Amino acid sequence: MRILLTFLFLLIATQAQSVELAVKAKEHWQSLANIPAGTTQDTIAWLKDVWLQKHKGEIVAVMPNGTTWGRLDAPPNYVIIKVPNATMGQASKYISPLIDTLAVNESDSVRVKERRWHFLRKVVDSALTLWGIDSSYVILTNAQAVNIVREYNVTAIKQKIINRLRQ
Amino acid sequence: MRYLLTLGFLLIAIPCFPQAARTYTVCESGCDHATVQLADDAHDQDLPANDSILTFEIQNTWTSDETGVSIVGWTMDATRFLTITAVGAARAGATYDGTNAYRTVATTAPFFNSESFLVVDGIQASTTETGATVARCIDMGSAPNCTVKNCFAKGSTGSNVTGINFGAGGTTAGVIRNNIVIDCPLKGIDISAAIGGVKADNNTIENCGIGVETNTQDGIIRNTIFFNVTTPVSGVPNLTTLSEENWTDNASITYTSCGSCGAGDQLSQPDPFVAIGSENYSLASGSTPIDAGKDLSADFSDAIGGKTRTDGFFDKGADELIAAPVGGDRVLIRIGMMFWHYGIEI
Repeated sequence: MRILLTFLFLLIATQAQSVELAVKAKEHWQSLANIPAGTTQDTIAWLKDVWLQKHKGEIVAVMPNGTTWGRLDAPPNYVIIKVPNATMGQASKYISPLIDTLAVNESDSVRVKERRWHFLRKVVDSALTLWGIDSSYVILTNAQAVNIVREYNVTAIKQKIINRLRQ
Repeated sequence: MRYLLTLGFLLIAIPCFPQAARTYTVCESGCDHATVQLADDAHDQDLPANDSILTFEIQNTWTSDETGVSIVGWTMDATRFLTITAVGAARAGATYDGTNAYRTVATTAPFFNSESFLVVDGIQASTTETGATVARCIDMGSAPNCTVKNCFAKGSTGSNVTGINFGAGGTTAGVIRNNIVIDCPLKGIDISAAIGGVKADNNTIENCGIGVETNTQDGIIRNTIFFNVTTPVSGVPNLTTLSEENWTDNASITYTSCGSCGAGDQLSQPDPFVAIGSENYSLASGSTPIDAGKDLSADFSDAIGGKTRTDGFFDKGADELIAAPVGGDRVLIRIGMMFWHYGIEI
């Protein structure tokens, strides 16, 4: 009983600062995993455009606790992850883009990716498995979220593009 | 034989008709999606390959801002494209509405697009940038053949703020019309990198450094109001389809290398708006842009806020003042008097 009351107290107390993340749950239609290397599409410009887009595991929206999500803001499009002890300010970084600060011309693709951060795909797959069984969302602590979210790297992406073109 | 001929006709005819257009709704509660961004990332696709036309319809009142929209990851063409349109209470009008109408607000990119043929209609977009970072309220990037119409772009004090940017017009003219652009210290509308004849008609630009920046890239500027704008037009406009019928409180509008441009321009004009201090850019009754514009009804007849330019005379700027019918009361009195004259009681 004491444990239950503690849990309920924490759940209520942490609602004061709490965010909900809509995470992309499906592969983009131009996912490189679905398009063999060496096709006629494989140019630097096209590959840069593919990397720019949002892919599975990337956070599309950060909203306050209690958000009324749309009818289609759910699988297969999205999973909703709740982070009870995170603020909107803390979570807003997850929707920031990845910028190439070394780009020479502004007209070049200074924006390398729409989202700098992403959840691991296995996290999304687990959430999809649990969806509708345990609940309509996944709850993570701020520490858990920080532990499983990953940051893209401009240099690494450029190297991936080069490697792809060499195939 | 008749059956075979009918079947053959159907096999040929059916593929020629595109798939039915589909609309997804966006609102804070009770719609398909809670934000435009969520709609974008749920439905991005190769529209020509799927033979589809999509619309994101933004509805109802919005108590909160959307914090930036980025349209990326599509393929579109001239007949199969995405339209993002705000309707009803969500739609932009001649007064900036930060309480009820839809608005996307962000520091550097409130609305960014990288896909050709996108149509954006009736949204508000505002930047909060106050420093020197490049910020564009509605940015079509380098995407050609886009349309931005009936929108309200609100800048800030940042030194590199642009209201509407078209980076590439493409081989078919892009369209920028009926937009209100305010508070953009760098540029109101930038079409200097666009090619193919971007038409920038019936826009209202207020408190900006450069009103419209064009270049030797076929920009056309007509029926546009420039108020509190340092340089209304910068760069070389289209030299065959002339820029004309514009309006300003400045003493002149300079069209570089285009001596034939500027016919019908109204210069040194007084404030035409209802209340700039309240961000109300409706045309005041009796103001000089009313009925003074070039008739562009061959291209369009709409105005900001869902209005239609129906009185046969284009106002300049984004707003169209719809006057009340003339003589209504007098007609009623006239009829009453006629009946009295003939002894008929009414």
